[in-house]
Amino acid sequence: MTIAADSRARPEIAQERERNTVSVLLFALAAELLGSERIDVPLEDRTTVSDIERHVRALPGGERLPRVRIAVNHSFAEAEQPVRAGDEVAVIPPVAGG
Amino acid sequence: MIQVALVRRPIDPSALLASAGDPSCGAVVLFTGTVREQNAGRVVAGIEYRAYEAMAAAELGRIAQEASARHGVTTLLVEHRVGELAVGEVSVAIVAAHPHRHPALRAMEQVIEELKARVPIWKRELYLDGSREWVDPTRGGKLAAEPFAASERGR
Repeated sequence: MTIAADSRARPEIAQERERNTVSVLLFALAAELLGSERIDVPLEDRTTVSDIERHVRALPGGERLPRVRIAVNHSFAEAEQPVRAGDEVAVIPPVAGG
Repeated sequence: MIQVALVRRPIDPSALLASAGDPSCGAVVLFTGTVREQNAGRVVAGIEYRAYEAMAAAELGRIAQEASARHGVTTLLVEHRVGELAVGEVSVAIVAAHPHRHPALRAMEQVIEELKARVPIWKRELYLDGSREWVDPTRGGKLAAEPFAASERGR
């Protein structure tokens, strides 16, 4: 996709940033270990679910995460699934409902 | 009628059961899960349930649809509580109804087993000494949610 010259000229930094990052929701033990319920992860050309997990695990506290699953837009996602700006991504530590 | 909900108010199992009334159904199954006073040898004072609510509702809905399609059950009601619960309170209730008992029983079992394996809900146990801990069913030597899932999924 090409970005129109005039839209690029407008210095809407926040919007630009939003296009290049995805916010990742953290729950339960994941939120506790990383000290946050939401983090921004930068998006590269072909960021996948496993890239997101790798990024989260590299953050302080992330090394103590147990095995997690990643959800994209309210469904569990496979490791190779691409992640795009605007997706709702979440780190799902072992669930314990019931 | 297939309905799933995450609720903050106490669950009323008899009201849920009553709402499943269907003269064509000779079998109406009610399952309730309650907060146990001991877990893994520690005395539990209460439990806090947290959910990724949007996804939990979606996943519960998918589970109910799967169980309904598989067992031909047209009445399936699921309520899961979130928030702080005391020992003995109901954390989950499932009602399944069918003209005959086996599909109703199996649908109920499928829903609770899949719920435990897939729905993004977490619980943090509060212990008598004031400490609290997230429960991880995949850790420790306890029987995880394998038995039903492993034997039933392949059938």
